[in-house]
Amino acid sequence: MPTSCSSRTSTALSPDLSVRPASSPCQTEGEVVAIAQAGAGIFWLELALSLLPMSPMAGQFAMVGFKDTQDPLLNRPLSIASFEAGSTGCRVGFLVAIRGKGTRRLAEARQGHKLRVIIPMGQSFLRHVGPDQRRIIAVAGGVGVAPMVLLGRQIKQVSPEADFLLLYGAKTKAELAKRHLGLTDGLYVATEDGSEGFKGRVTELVEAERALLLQAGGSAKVFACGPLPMLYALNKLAERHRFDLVVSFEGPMGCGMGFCLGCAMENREGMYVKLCQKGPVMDAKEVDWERLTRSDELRGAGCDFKPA
Amino acid sequence: MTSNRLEVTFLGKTIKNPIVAASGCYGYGLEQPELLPPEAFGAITLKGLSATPKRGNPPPRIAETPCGMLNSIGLENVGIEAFAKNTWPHLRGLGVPIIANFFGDDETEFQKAAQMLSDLEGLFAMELNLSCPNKPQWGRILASDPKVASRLVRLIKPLCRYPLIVKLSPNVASISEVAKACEDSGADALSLINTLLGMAIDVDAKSSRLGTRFGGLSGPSIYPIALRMVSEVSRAVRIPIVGMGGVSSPEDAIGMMLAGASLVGVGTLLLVNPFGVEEIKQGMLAYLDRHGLEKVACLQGRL
Repeated sequence: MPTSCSSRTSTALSPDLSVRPASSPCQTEGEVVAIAQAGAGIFWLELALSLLPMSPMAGQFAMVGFKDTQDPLLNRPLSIASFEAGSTGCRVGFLVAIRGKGTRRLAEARQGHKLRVIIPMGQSFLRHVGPDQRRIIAVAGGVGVAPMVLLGRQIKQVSPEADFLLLYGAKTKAELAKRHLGLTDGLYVATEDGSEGFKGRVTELVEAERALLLQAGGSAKVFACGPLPMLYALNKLAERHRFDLVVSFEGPMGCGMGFCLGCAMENREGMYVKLCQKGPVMDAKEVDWERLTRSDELRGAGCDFKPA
Repeated sequence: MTSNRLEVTFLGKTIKNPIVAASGCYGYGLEQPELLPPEAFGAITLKGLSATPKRGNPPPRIAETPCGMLNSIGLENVGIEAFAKNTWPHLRGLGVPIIANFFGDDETEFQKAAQMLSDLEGLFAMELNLSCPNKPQWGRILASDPKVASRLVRLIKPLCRYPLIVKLSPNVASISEVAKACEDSGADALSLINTLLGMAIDVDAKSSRLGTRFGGLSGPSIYPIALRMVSEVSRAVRIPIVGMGGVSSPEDAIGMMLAGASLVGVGTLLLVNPFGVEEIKQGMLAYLDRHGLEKVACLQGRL
């Protein structure tokens, strides 16, 4: 059993998931216990942590970096896809898309490799779930499926009556990381080339399946994570069809801890907010979508935004 | 750890260890009280403050470089009034000496900021930022010209109720000249170095990787330059020096002290490895043991 990193986390195994995250991360060492290709350009990375952190909630992230080199220097923000704590230790899983030097090196890590981990950080999807939530529709694009894996597992703890559907899109079948989803029911797949499931973008699948929103008596919420163009298109749908949308942004971060102000993002009031603390999960209504896409603020997040 | 072997004296005050949070890398000191408690530091330098709130630069504001990073934050801050009301009451009770870094867009704003900070009760020192590379409003880095630096120090010093530390820029022909000019103009101490002006290009997009054209380089890659400049300045002035720039290990921190620093600033390290502060302190103690030295203060300027 790993030791707990602070007294406040000693009872963290069954957190009160309805409360706002206490944002009290701890720094620890993560030993690579599994690394495998999950899809084209996407890796499954599982670490055994030497300290027991507060249990992460779906949508929260960890900063993961290298202890044995200063190049790359910065830790990478990775969305938490799985978390298991038990008598034998504590394991956390991520989906890593290769985007640059840091993520490539992470994908090349081998079993036994020790990484720096700061976990858990940021806001979660769960605080947007009410106890009487009837349906959650998760919409994921590419590696944006990572938090939805954890969300699928945690949703029942927060809202026992809710059913959980996942609409998951990628360019091709090869890029789907389905093996790690742990989800058999309620999965709708879209591929842009039609090699699996619905042919088209996941946002087009949402449009096609919007009856799913209505079946829940209008109380469905849509949670989304994926590239900026996908989130932008989804927000357009949310405005047109009047559904509640909560999004998780992918963006470059310096520290993830609120120190550096490097992940500033403009909100609807035109103020810069820290994506690492105010996000990455935010109500779509708080986001200035036009400004965000116009000013290309999330450049570096691997988006090739082209206004539709 | 209760050992006082890490104690140093700086500006007449006993500081429990020589490690100082550098400005801009530890927010306002209260962001992560459990992960990296303020009490870990000998002193904390706050994110740069100005008389009025500043918006900062457009994103992206960070670009990683080999063994370093560029930033173009642009001194975003809540303004001294909001800081005094919302943050200072929580900070001042902690018992950690607080250094307030400050700046203005023009001379009047510099003066106003100095006055407003002097109205706070319980600061340890004030750090005059003449060296941010991300202030187009200044027209240039103010600390790049000994005359400009001198003029500002003379203007500001009489308004300061607390000791005045002047933060110097490495983007300068002779840092010793600027250091000397600041000392002669009344600075109580110097801190160096701020970031080096740099650039990173996204060759596919054919554009800067920052929202601005240039940014400030920090991290391990600038340590040798910082060390050289601290060594140079320590021979040019008699006032104490806070040495900083890329410090990321006990050896780096010890090197800074040997080169002449009284205190050692850590910045980018905090963004990457918050445990680094404890690692440096432990490593310093081990070094003292290895070299049969009683106190870390013995190291200062031994080179």
